Amino acid sequence: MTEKILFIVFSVLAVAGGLGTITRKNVVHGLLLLVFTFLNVAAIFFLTQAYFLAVIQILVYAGAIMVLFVFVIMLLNLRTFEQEEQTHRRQRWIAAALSVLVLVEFVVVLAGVTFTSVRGGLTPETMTDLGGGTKVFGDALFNNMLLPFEVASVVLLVAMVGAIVLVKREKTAGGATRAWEPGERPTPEALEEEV
Amino acid sequence: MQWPDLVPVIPELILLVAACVVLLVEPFLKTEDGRGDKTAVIAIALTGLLGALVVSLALVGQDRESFAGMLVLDDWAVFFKVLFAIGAGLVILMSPGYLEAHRRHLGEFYALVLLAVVGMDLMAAARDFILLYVALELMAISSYVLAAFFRYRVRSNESSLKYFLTGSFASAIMLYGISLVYGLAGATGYAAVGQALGGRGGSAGVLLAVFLVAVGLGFKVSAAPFHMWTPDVYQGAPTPIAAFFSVGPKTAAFAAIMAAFIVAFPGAVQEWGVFFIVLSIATMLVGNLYALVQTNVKRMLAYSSIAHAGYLLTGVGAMGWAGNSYPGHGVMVYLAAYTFMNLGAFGLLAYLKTQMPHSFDYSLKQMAGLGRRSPWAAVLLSLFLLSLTGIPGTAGFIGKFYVFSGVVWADLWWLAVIGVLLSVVSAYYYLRVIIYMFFREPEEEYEVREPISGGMAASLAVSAIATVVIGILPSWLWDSVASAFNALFD
Amino acid sequence: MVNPAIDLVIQLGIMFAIGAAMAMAFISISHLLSPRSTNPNKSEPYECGVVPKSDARAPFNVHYYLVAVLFVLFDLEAVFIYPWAVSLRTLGTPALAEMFVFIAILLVGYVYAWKKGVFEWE
Repeated sequence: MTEKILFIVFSVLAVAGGLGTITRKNVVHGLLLLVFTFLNVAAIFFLTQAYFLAVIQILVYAGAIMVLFVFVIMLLNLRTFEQEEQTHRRQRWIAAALSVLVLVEFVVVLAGVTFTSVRGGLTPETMTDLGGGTKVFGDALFNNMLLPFEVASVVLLVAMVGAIVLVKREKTAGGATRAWEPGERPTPEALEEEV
Repeated sequence: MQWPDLVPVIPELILLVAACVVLLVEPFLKTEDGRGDKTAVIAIALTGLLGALVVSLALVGQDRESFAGMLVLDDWAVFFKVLFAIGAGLVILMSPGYLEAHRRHLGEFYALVLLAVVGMDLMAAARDFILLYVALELMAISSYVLAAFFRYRVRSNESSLKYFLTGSFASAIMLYGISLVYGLAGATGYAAVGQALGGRGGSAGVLLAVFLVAVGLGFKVSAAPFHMWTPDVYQGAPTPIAAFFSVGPKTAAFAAIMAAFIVAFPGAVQEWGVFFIVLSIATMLVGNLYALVQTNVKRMLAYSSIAHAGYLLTGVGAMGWAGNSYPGHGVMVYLAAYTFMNLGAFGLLAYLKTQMPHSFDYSLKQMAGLGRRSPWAAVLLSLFLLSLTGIPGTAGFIGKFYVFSGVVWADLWWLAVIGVLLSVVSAYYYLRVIIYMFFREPEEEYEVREPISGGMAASLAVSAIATVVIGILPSWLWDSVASAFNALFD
Repeated sequence: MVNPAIDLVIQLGIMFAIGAAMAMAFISISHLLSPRSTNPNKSEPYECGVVPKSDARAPFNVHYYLVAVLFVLFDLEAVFIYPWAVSLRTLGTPALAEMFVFIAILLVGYVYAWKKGVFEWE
């Protein structure tokens, strides 16, 4: 009973935070509401005894990813999100109607579905016997999920290279030793040329 | 625990090592003007691809699985690994001059192409939804970066941003579908999912999961109505990369669809068959009709690649409709044929752009008189365009022939008729380019900058030879496709 | 069976509630009890020095963003090490090698970034 009440509280707060995120005009407010949503999702993970996942949710999403979001907002010097009222007004209503329709469809379909118990019949109780959620996660990650785990490191490598390729600035004249391509920046007329 | 069997991933390991070496060598390449001589990284990248190609060919006929059944090595996986290695090699060969002309020749380009190929290889070899997703992300993230490679160019930025937003949206949809599959089946391996869901037939929950996974992969093959990113992304991406996008990720997504859907969703074959048939009709219509009105040749080829995805989807739909893998044979032949002819067509545009880096804007108008300016380029482009149309004697005809005969085999003759009719429509926009090249007077004189580089010539020559050889002697291709299908489904 | 997480959630909730209540109490108490006098000088940010002219939210150098991205990536790497450390004893030598491969791949990126001069401030 307590479990259900807590779940409902956290999930309602998470959804409310999500709605707030997409409706706030001030981007920083939207961002803080997104953090709020992440915290509530972490609480739900916590409630299902997935403590590791809960901590990751807070560390990585509410912590690290949000730092990036703040940086982007500062970079672009965004203040409020100026929607072009005239051009998108009708589209917005159609989109909202379609979203509600999809939501109803998902709820109707998924309400009639019985979900199978997970691989190996794991429950919170058996997980405690196996040494706790973090250990079960680690055992699975380094046994069955080994290849996706190693591929994930390659994905991280690509992200690193990509960020550097796209962001690293070319050296100006004088410090030519690690220059990027001199003359890479096109003239104003060439900027919009076909590539 | 056991040490994993690494033999099935040797080609990917070679590519990964080559990419890492490129990344480690690149910062040390310096010449006096600060630009660096990139011959070394190109050589490393090509050696890696060649190594992966040779090893893949040496592994023909194997049948083993590794990493707890997530990944297999069979003729199916080898077929796609070979195709991806050749395709990426052709892309790398055509790139240096083009990048040099845009003053943005960096070794990272080659490393990212290699890493994208690793992702594509794993997509084709995966037998598990989780590996499929991670491999798809590896391919996709490399692609987003490559699309934005000309970071000061407005179009390149637009291309990458549109690709990234729609692509990550599609990935999220697919991931949601995979999570439903896991919830319903309690497993993520294709075979295990098929066993768990086989008896449940087309219940609403299963259909929703199948639908979401199909939509996510439909984005990657640019099936209508999930195609709207394609023209802008291809037009704005560097041309060799547009060539890569049009064959690589698309082929990988088709490989994943064919490998996953028959095995994992056998209870709902009719339903997903119909879904792909509907998609295929929409895709063929949208691709062909929009291509008719394009005046930018690069954009026209983007719409044409949508149309080709439509032809391919008829075969996939027929697989589901008949509940049999046989129509898939034609899809695989088509994918091989399409790789060469499309890389050739885009490669030729890259060559023209390299010659005139500032004045060439890919417009039909500027194609006028090409037959006189550089006759062999015009002849080659004509060959690729005729092949894309599906003229007998070219690879495109063989591909279409096998796909549509598979569709007819599945008693969907009306679908094949639609496909053939729309191929006739496509002749208009392909032949129009040829007419401009040979029979229109140019409005202005163009200054041709430099002769063709050896790499570009090799790339175009291989594409052209393959287009003709597949067109005349398709039986070896058919045999390797048949052995790939035997490996997968028996 | 009773979910043991519920007790933890309630305990944590009480802790958060007390923490928030204390913070709010201190602010409101000092706001209520403190004597107040208004003076234009007091509303300035500093009693001495230069009066700020522009907004605090100035555009950043993009280099900060690059550093932030690298931070997130290595943060994720660290996250993967936790379950590995917990499971290492049962999994044995192969798991050790697996983590070395994982770190080696990221190390390639690290060396690459270093040689590209990402860590040098311009």
